[in-house]
Amino acid sequence: MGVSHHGQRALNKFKFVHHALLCGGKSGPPHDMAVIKTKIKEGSKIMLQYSFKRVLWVFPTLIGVLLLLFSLTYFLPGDPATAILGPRATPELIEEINSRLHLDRSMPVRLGYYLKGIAQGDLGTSVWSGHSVSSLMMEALGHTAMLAVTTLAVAAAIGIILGAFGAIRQDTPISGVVTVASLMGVALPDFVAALLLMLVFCVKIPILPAIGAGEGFWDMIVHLILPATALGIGWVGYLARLTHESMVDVLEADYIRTARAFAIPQKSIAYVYALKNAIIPTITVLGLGVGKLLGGAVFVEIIFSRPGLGKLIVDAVYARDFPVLQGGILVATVLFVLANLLADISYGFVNPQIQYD
Amino acid sequence: MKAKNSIRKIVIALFALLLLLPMGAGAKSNDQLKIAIWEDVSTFDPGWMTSGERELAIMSCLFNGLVKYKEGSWDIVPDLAESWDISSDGLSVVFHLRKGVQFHKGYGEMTAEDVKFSYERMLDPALKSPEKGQWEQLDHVEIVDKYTVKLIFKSKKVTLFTSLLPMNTGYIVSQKAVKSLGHDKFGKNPVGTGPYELDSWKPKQHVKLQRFDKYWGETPKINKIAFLPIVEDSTCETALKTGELHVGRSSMINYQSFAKNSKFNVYSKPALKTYWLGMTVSHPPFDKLELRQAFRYAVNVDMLVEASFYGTAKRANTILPPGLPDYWADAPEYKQDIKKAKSLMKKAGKPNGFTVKLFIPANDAERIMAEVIKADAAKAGINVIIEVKEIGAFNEAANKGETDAYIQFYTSTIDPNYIMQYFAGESWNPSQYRNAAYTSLIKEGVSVADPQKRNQIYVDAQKQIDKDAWAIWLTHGTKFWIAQSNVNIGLIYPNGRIAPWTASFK
Amino acid sequence: MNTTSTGIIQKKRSLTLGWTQNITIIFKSIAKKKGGLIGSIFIAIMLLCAAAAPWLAPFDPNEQNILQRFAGPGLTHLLGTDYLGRDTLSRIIYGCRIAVLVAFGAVSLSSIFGVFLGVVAGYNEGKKFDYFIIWLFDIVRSFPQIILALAIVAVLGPSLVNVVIALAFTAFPFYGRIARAQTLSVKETDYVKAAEAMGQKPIKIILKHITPNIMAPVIVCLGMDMATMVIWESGLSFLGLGVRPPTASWGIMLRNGYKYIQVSPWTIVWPALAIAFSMIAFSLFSDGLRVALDPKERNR
Repeated sequence: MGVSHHGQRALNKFKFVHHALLCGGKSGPPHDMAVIKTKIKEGSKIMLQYSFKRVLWVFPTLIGVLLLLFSLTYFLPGDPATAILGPRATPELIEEINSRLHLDRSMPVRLGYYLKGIAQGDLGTSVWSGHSVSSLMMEALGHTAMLAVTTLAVAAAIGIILGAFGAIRQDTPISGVVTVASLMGVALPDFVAALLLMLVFCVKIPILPAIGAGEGFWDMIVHLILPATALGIGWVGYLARLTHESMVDVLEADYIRTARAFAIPQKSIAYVYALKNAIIPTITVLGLGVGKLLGGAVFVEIIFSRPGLGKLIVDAVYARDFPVLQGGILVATVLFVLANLLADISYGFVNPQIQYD
Repeated sequence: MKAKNSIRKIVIALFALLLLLPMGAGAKSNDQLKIAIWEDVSTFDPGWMTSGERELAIMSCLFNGLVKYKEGSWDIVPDLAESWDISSDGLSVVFHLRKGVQFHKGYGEMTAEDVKFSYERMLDPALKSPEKGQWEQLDHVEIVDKYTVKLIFKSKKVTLFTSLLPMNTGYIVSQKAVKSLGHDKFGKNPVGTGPYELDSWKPKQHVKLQRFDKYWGETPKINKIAFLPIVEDSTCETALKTGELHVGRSSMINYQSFAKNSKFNVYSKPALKTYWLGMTVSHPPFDKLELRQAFRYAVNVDMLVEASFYGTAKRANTILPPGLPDYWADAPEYKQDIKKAKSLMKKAGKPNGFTVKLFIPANDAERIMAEVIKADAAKAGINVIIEVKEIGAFNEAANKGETDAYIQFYTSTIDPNYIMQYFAGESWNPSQYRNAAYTSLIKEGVSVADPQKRNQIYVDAQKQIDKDAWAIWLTHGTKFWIAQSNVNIGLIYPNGRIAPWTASFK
Repeated sequence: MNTTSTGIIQKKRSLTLGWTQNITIIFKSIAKKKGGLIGSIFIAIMLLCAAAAPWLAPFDPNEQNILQRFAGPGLTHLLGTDYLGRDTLSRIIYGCRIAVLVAFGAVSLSSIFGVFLGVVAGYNEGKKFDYFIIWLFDIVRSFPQIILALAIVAVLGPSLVNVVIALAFTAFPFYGRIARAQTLSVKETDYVKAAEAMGQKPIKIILKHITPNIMAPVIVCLGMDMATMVIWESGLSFLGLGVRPPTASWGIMLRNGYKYIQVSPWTIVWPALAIAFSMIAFSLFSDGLRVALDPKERNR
């Protein structure tokens, strides 16, 4: 659904977030100075209407997603038996597996079987391991979610703190640190960062683990260090700048100056008013980051041999494990759709001046 | 001022966290042995095991057969059968089973019933085992008494003791377990008589085994084993160095550096693979014998093997690896001879060269081989176009004969028919080789018992391939293992397979 | 001065100012800011490498020298050699070519296709066609980009062209959305209404009046998108589903570096630096571009 704007001036104020939204949040941290103000929700009724329409729109989207997904797997050359068994795949076996997966039927028929399965709560079974796709995915999702949450939490914590410090104390070299951090985040996409980190901390000085997710609480934390850093580098700089700029502008606003004039202590001004107002656009942007994170997670998981949704999908492509491939992409896509939904709706809270169609 | 203090505190905290790191990385407990394998298992049902070697290291921890290869050699020794008598006509064998052998997870004692069940189910068409062909000569299994079982064959199974019983499909499964769990579930919850039982299997993550305390044989020294599927050699190397793995492999190029490293021990054996460059004979350009021969003379195999295997492997001259009894020791070694290549091309009417479409899978060794071949072929005026295909697409295209040339490898077992049969058939015969003489030799070889005669048949078959020149044999590869110096890897079979139940920590 | 339209509209409305002069103005304002200047210089370097690769590269990027593989940086091979003995510096320079081709190719393809669909949809706001186009956009947008690109390349087969197609396919909805959103407001402006009243054909209105005036945010996205395309190509090649060997792409070089990470760390470092360089170039440039195209910003 499109979002129309109402007034160029209002647009400019939300340029930062607006820009991220328009470019789908996919292309990395913009370096813009934005003025973000939040007004009390005037058009809350319009917004509810918009939200409802927006939620309804999810369904035709999912249907279209299924169609595209099935077209892709339909045209994917190769069959699982040959991919897995190699020379040991007898023609009878190939035929047996192919007919079990309905690979010899036309696309609408295959889609029909798949939907029937979903309606019964069955996402299929992995050709490779015989495990149910749903169990494989629950586990994979858990690992990817753990990676994503840790990355965002740490990046957000570091980024917001850095940005806040830089805004409050403009005379410290913090802003220089922030600029360098955001530049590094841009220059090193996740998988390049992952490779370099592995090179330094696993190969040159072998002190951090290079494979797996670990067992036991501390072991898992240690196994998260490098992957989360690789994924999070871009975010730290970005979030720092975001917080910094939004806080600087808010701090200069009239009502803050008034509060200062009344000698309200500096600390409470900063923490109570400014940070609160700066958080909301940050959250919107974080919501958009889901897609970018999943993309980066694919590489990080493969490079560090971590179990997860990305690795699951890529392995399934190589092995032509169609049930897992379809299930994995479907789950990833549904998550993505939901994240977009949340982002779109929450964006409405950020800018009530937007007209909703 | 306060900000500076806070920053200081944060830095100190981070520093302290760093000191905790060595505790996390590579926790070395002597309780669990971590071994890296190439790929994950696809099932634990021995009747459905597919590739010859991939799952064997794990399966041989879980199961026993009637007989086994003595660890570290190809000699056949008793396993679950204490002794056996072969009938005079060679068509039946009576096995006397060991008493008091227990299955895992409380499934009771192993008896003749389990043997009968394990083998007869291979023939069941409803189960569609990919290994059915191996057992087709079996007629049925007779239970003589609780610990005596008779295998009756329709025709003489010459490979019964050499490659059928000691391998995957020869393993004995618990009838009770298979019947109660069902075939599918049994594949994830194996019940055998081996020294280890399955603890957990997370696909593509790990296979964890736990020592079986009721094992009938010698108790293994190591309590737990974890098999970790790692596809990339370099990841394996890194994990070895960080201490996350006890036993693994390295890329060939790093073999020497591990060999020299006192923290590791290396063990190497020639592998039973055969890499070859195949030419498709069903369409131009390689439908012409002279052009195939020309290509054979254009490629510098020694240089190719050196480049792709970094001096750890030798060149191959025929399809069977040396060490196999029917290896053709006198196979010709073709050296690069551009002049000869060019004259053959002239003879075939292509004096100015021709184009070859070469398909390869996206593997390291094959990529290097392809590059070397391309450079070599160019010297004779042959233009090689390399197309890297993702493995699924590669197999499909190569098997259909869609390309002019391809690089492929198959893995042998001790039975030469295992690998040679494909080129007499329709599937997995990428060169589309159809030769009546070869086919009849292969058919004959399966039924001949006399080792001398077999040898002659298989050598003749190899000679036929050489004459028809549709393959340039490259190498048989090397199988090697790297273990931490505090690990005794145990015994290793001639083809490089390890026997983890013989391993221990020093 | 019509304050409800952007400055660029004003610029282009000055009928006598042609395309070249507009572009010159834009570049001048980019260069005013330090970041934009650096970005432009970096991009110029990349374009130079891409175009002049055969003359700049000291060796043939595919020339193998097995005996000299894994050489570290030295006098003959300034950046060392890879696992087949090929010169790394030459491969980096040729890799620039691939990066530029992918970046520009995928971005052009997706933006042209996307903008066209978006404008037409926006112009027909509310009609069935509009909803259909939005539906298409949302379907493609719902897939995680890398996975969609991966799947498409797996279907089509790895090659440079297929990578460009796959990447373009994953990106076109973003341009479509921007174009459509912009079209919705632009089509309400006076001169468009006037053109309609005068009976001008819709296609002419779209091409002459609407499209030029929506380009500002599109162009800004183009800049950042190029950086993303370079990453994605490297990523796909890293997974083995990108360009075919022996093509020298930075992604393939990273893949080989990863495989030999224990042997020669240099094989990872150089392509990583090259990618970093291109990322900084595109980012700074697109930043400058965005600032240049924004009438408010230019006064800061």
